[in-house]
Amino acid sequence: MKKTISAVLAGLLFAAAGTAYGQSKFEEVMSKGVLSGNIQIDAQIYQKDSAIGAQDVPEKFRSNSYAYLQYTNGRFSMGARFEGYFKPMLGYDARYDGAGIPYYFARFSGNMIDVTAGNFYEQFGSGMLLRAYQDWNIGLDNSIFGARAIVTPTAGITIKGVVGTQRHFWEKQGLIRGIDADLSFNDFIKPMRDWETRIRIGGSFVSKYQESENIDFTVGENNYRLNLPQNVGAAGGRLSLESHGFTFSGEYDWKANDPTAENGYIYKNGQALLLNAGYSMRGFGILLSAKSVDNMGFRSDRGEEGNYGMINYMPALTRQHTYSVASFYPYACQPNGEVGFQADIYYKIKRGTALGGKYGTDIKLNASVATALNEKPVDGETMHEMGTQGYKAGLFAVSDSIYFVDANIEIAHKFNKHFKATLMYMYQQYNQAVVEGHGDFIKAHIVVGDFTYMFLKKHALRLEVQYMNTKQDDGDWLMGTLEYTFAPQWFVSVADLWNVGNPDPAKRLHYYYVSAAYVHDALRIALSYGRIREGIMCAGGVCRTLPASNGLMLTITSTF
Amino acid sequence: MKTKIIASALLLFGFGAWVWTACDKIPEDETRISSDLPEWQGKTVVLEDFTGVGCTNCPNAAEIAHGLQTLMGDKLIVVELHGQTETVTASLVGPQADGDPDLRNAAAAVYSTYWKVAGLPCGLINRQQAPGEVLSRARWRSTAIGVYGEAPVATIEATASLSGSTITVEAKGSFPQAYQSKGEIRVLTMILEDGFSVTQIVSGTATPGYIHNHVLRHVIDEAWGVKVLDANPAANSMFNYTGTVNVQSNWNKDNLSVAVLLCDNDTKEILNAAKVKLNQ
Repeated sequence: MKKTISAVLAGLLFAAAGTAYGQSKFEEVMSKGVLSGNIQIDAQIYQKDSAIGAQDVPEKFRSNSYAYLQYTNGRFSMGARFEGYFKPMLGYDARYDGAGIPYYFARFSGNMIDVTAGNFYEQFGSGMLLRAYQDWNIGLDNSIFGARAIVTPTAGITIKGVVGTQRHFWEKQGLIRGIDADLSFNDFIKPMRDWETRIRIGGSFVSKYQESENIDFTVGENNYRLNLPQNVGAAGGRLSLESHGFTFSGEYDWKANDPTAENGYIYKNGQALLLNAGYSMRGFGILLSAKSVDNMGFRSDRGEEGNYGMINYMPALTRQHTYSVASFYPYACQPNGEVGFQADIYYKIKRGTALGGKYGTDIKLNASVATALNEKPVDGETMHEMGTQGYKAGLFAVSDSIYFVDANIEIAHKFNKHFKATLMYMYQQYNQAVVEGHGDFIKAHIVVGDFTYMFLKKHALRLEVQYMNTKQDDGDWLMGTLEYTFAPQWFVSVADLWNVGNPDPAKRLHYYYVSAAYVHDALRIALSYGRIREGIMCAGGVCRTLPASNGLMLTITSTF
Repeated sequence: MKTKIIASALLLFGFGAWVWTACDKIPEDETRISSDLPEWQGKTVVLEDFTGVGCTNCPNAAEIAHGLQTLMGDKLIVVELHGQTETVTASLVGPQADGDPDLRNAAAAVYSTYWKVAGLPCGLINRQQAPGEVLSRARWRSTAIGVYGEAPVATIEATASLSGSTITVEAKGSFPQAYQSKGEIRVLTMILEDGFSVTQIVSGTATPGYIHNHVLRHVIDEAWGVKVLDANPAANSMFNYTGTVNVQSNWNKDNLSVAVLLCDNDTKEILNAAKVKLNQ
């Protein structure tokens, strides 16, 4: 709160300084500035629904609200974001309760140097060492409050330095320092500027500080206290190559001893390797990815678990599905250890051919797998015992413990100017016990049909049918959605998600849902009513739980 | 241009060196330090374990609590709180098998909501933690040891008896020195029950026959207790408390015990506590 008041006072002082500078000159300068921003309001009226496990919410009405304002004048910009959680909607952490301005900054972007003071988001490379970002869908905001300098001495060389504390709900925690250098050879070496082959390298160092504390434990008859490192460092390097449609990128990261609640307070160093290779040309593309992660959870508070306090980010090598039933069991990255592979192939059957038809046919193939890391004991130590090295494991040491498998094919075809269709088949294996902490090893077959018919100008009717077949968890599901769009401003939809195959006939419930939205320029208003199934919502491998709920929901977004 | 690149390189090297040196490497043979229990000065430690039968890591937390019980004996009171809230859903705390007893409790839900419990397991030690700052299980031991060595500001002793189907709890104590409290002083009386055999999720697997002890079954009076003294009790202030409750049909009288907590009602901190087995 004190810091918010200081920021406001600083703004007022700036305005007062302008007055001292000369009224007409001040007005002239300020008139060149641009005010922009966006707002978002999510609100829900809750009603108890015992059948689906939707609890009674005492307040009946809850909302999450965000309003962002930015003033830009030439090279200078400043901004602030108001957030209000009255109370936080179900599924969002109760520690967000309240309102305030947790994000504000001032920035100067010069020719060679760009400086930010206040809150900022930043990512080094893939994010496996540092990623400060926000995603309201999963209730995550780990912005850094401090200072950032970006130096660009010449085209193709970028050096970033950051220092600050991390946002933790309405407080700040930890101390993070980092530096990143990115070199694009083609941009700063003149003879390489016209090359078809593009080469880029980068490197990062990140360090966190947290005061030591007493962590006591017993091994047999002996009582111990951990000797905790207060500064934990991590470093990484990356390379990317592009040439004639081929791409290759790789990033290796290493972290020094970092005993935390997440890894069971072991002192093993962490490491991660991410590799991508691909080829693309008109009508065809292939991307292969591989990832090995070993003890790379990196948090501003060593005692924290879950979605908060993360300094870095583990990219998910899985397809982010948009169809509801296909995203029932989304995979959440396991920073303690996992090995993952993904293959993505895109092919367009040319138009004018028998299978391509008049408009062509798009085929997408995707397959991904994630397994545990094959860990072995360290000589003379008990595996995962507190205060030890924990275990040993090599890069890409695949275990036979499957975490996740997803193999899917999607075919999209436009038959004529009125009608198009998309069909998808997906096979999935999901280790619910590992990802969610409880449950079965789920094997599921999923089929989706998505049909759109355009009639009259700007009117479209879309039918979506999804079916999941599984013997585990709640059994089979069937979903139907009918959506009517009157472009560009209106759409309405009705949907029903039916747990048709629940082993308990009394639980073969319908989750009905109706919604409507109005879009005008940058304004979007959406109103919906119905049941929401208990589940988890993920974005990029980071997930939050979504409790069952029933009620009326409103979302308003606008940008200006 | 050359000057800019050289300056940038120096900047990169300088800042990078600073960041890189900010890294403490602990030698492998220095990761643990021997640690002894401090001398107990009369303050009972209370560990409240927010747990659930559907929580895969909760058995590990229970082991930590059990280890502390072995270490501290009757100077530690462990309470299991099975509280369902909007965040801690039925899948985490509701029965995992047909016929299992339901360990959920309304007072546990009140505490879970107040302390903003976002996930399980987590805990409180003498309620010294502010809302939103519940302790991960890794911090239970060191925090409990810290409280173990604290000097108590008040004394408390309790008895509990069963007559027919009525449990009567009597407690008394005093503040030897004047105490600057934030709120009025309250006594909070919990009925705990041992010996529940249920299906528990252990490391992702449903495990029947898992035993839960010290489960909160009931709070006599209200969730935050009843007033026994005004705020800021003077030196030698004494208090007495009597509470009664009827045994409910789903309680096992042979497995019941009573925990009496002396609290500052503003901060909710437990100043001292006593536990007694029913009819002992």
